[in-house]
Formats: sequence, structure tokens, C-alpha cells
Amino acid sequence: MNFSKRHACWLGPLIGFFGFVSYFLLSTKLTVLRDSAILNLVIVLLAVVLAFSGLVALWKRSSWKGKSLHIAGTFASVSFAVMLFWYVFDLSYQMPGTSDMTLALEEAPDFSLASATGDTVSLSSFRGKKVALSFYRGFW
Amino acid sequence: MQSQEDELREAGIELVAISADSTEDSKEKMLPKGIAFPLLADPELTAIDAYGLRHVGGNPFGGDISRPAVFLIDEEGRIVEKMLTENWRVRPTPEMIREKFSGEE
Repeated sequence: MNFSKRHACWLGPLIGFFGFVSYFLLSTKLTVLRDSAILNLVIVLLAVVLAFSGLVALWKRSSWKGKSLHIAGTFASVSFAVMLFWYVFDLSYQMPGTSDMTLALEEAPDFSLASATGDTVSLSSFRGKKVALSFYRGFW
Repeated sequence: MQSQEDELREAGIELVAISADSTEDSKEKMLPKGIAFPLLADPELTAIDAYGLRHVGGNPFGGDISRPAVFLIDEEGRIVEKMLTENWRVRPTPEMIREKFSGEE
């Protein structure tokens, strides 16, 4: 425990960084983790707890240099946690509400668009088949 | 995405994907991942507008993109289900799509 307290100033931010970045790497593979994000939220929170407990434990004994290191480490861990929480609970909801036009649709409007392989595909060519038409945000 | 499509295809459901990305972008970023279903490019947002899905300024690098949404369309071209979301992280799974379709029959 002493080890983790002494090294919390860099272990905390490292774990926080891992928790933040791994969300974006994992979430494309595991939809469960993408939807709930619970695993990554726990990781970044643990990082904050670790960094803060290191700060508290060493506060009395440390030099000013040690204190500033632990303050910086706690600050960095909190930043990773805040960024992930912000993304999960706020940013991903930032879009306009569902339009009345979408709600009013009954027949699927036809379209003709170029596909990535170069063909032109129209919705009407799928008549007689069940279609899941997925609009996605894209990769810019 | 591709494994989800295999699952749908087995259930007799065709997956068609549309985004505001250009065909070049889709080709570069998606085809190498082994995607076999049509990835349609709608850079002018004509189809996206026809379904009322334009998200103005939704691209953090500038420009409009589509809201995420999945429409389930039956053999006669009727929309049987609109899977809309207020949170772009959460999307329907193939199981949900299959269940919605089988509920219609």
C-alpha cells in the first residue's frame, strides 16, 4: 500500500488515461461496454481515488516538490474522469431532437446513392425484401 | 458491424447503411474492415433530409451529418419500425432488429 501511495501521483493519471482511452478502443468491439460505459467509468473513478489517497497520505511528510507532484497527479486523474463522464453523459446526447418529419414517415422515401464500391443503389431495388436501413454519423 | 450483418442476413434482412461521408471516405475507412453490405454516400444529405435526420453542425470538424437511426422496412416499402435514439453511443443490436421484424409477422 505504501508503494501505491508513494507512486499514486503517476499511477493515478496513468490508470485514468488508460480508462479514458480504452473506452474508445473497446467500445467499437464490445457493444455492451459502449452502451453502458460502466467498466471505464469505474476505472477512471478508481484512478481519482488512488491519486487523491496518495495526495492525502503524503501531504504531511512531503516537500513542496512532492506535494505539487501529487496535486498535479490528482488533477490529471480528475481531468480524465471528467472528460469520460462528460462524453458519456453529456456530449453523446448533444444533437437536435427527433424531427416531426421523421415521426410522420410511413412509407420509406426512395433514394438512389453511390455506394463505397461504386455501384448506385436505390432503396426500391430492395422491394420484396426486409431492409434494416441504418443511418450513421460517419467517420468524417 | 459485419458480424452483425451476417446475423441479419441469416434472418432474411438486408442491411443498408447511409452516412454523409463521401464514397472515398467510406472506401478508405470501411471497406478494409471487410464490409459486404452497401455503404451509401450521401454527401448532399438528400436521403438524410428525406428521412428528417440532418444534424446541423454535427460534425466536429464542420458540416452537417446524419443523426443515428435505423428504419425497418418491410417487403412493400413500409416503415414498420423507427429505431431512433437521443444518445449517439447507443445503437440497436441485431437481436432487437430481428425481434421487431418477427413481431410484425
